[in-house]
Amino acid sequence: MMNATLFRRLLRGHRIRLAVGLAVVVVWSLLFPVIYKAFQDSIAGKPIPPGAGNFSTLAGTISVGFIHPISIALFGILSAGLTVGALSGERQRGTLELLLSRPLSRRKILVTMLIEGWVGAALVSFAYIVGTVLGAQIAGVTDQLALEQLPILWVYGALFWGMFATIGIATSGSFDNTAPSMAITVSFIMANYIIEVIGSFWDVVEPYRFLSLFNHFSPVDLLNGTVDSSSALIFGVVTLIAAGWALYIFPRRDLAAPN
Amino acid sequence: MTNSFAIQTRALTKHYGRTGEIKALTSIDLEIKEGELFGFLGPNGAGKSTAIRTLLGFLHPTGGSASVLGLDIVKDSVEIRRRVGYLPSGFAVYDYMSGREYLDHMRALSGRPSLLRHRVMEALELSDAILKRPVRDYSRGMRQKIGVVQALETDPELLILDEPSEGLDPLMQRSLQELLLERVAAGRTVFFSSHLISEVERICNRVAIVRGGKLVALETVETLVRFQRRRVDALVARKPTRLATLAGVFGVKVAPEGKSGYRISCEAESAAVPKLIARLQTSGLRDLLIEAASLEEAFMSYYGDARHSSGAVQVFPEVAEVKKAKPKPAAKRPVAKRAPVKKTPAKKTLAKKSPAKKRSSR
Repeated sequence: MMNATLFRRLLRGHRIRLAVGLAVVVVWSLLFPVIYKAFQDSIAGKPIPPGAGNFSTLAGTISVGFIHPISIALFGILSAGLTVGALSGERQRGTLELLLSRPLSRRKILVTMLIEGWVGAALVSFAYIVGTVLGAQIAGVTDQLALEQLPILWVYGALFWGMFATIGIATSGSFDNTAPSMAITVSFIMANYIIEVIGSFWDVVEPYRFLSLFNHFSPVDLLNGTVDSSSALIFGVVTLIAAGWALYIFPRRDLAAPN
Repeated sequence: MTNSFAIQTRALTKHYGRTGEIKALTSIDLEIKEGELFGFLGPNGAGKSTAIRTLLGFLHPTGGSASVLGLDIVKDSVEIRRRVGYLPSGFAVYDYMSGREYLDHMRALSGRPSLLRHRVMEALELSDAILKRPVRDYSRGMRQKIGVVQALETDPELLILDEPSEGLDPLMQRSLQELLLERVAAGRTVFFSSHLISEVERICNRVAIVRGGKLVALETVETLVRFQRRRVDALVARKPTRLATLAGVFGVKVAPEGKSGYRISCEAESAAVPKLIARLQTSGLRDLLIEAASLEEAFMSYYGDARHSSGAVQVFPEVAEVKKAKPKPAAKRPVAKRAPVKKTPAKKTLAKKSPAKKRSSR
């Protein structure tokens, strides 16, 4: 279903973005165990200040880092960011035409590009965990880290961001230019994030938090050993819908000559 | 559809818009035999690229059918692309690659071995050193050469080239033409669109002219040219009478030329030439120059006149008749006829090198 030659070329084309992005994610994620340790030291023997609940445990602190806006931007760039311009970008540059002149079905091209997005999601999730472990070692809190839960956190992280990568390829296959594809994907991620954040402190929105995909991704629960398989099911269903749309629409589209 | 045709279309149509209001291609019927070198002529927006893109499956036809190498363009698109070499107009490359990496990548995607890379590189004067450089440093002409190499290097059965000479200097254009003739001699089929009418005239067996998404002519180059008006220049002893009343003779101008007689200039359809000569002989024909038409004139007769008309398709009656007939083997093109009388050196400049001679140099 995928083409290895095309896959290698895609990775090569994104290698700088991936290398720099993953390095930044490692550095960023190792800060959270360090912040946790510094916070614990500062409140040693004192009651936990109000509103600091998430930072009272290592799992909570790591969870904050996982859904911090900067993390969202980094994870988005390295997963959905790879797919959102994959097809529309090739068309805009004028390179899609020659790619399609090769004996590759449109579905095979699409699946290859989607797999690259999923690889990005898996790598960025892995990089975050690597950074977390390094940070825990630097801060000397490794004993508080549930190492046995890290693989499941990695799987859920990859699934969560792979879902957005699939939405990225669906929009990319639906438009001739990257701008609308990018706008729709980013808006979708932002809308989900805003509902989750606003719902956490505004009672009016709180009942609708379940509509946010971020509401179903809870790293703190995963690290504490509470694995909610319904979340994986939701991510899987959204992924299948987006992939189904992409596989339906892209082969049926007329691909106009480049601008 | 039989598989003896490299390309065969039946009423191939591509309309855009919800109600099909944009008519990019309308009912195109083409039959390109295997081993042909076929030219596809028309200005920008005529529908050339749309036709090519439809044949390759980038666009979905809204009507009619087509086959490439005996395979249906809708059902067998992937198999078609396995056997076709394609060069798009406005060829684009991945800038972060070197020329060699790009060629290797495209060849790997095609799944076929590189058989002709060195031959094409040699013909287009592409060295290994050039291929090592990043594509982003290439000039437009250099990029076009890379495009030609990727299209030809696997020696595909059919080459579909959209404006292949774009960006190439005249020497390289000539080298490319020789390469295409080589491929045809090796049994391959070449279908290419071009703005360069002289290029099509020089190397093509047959040519199609499209206008407004419709096919307005499909013939051998010779036939198209044969049915164009000839420019006639004659010197006669006596002033001829009723010359303008001859059917198929246009724009008759008569001017006295000292004691030599009268200089006659006009245009004549091929069929009217014998009668015209007979009429001139009755006036004491002393010198005669009949200039063979070029493909450019044939092309302009479809486009030049049309630009001043309401847009209706203009097809000359003779060509319309020819279009109904099956394609014939290349006919020998008529050349300038000169009566062995007095010569008028000044008029020699009117005579062009015969296209028939040019073709024989192949």
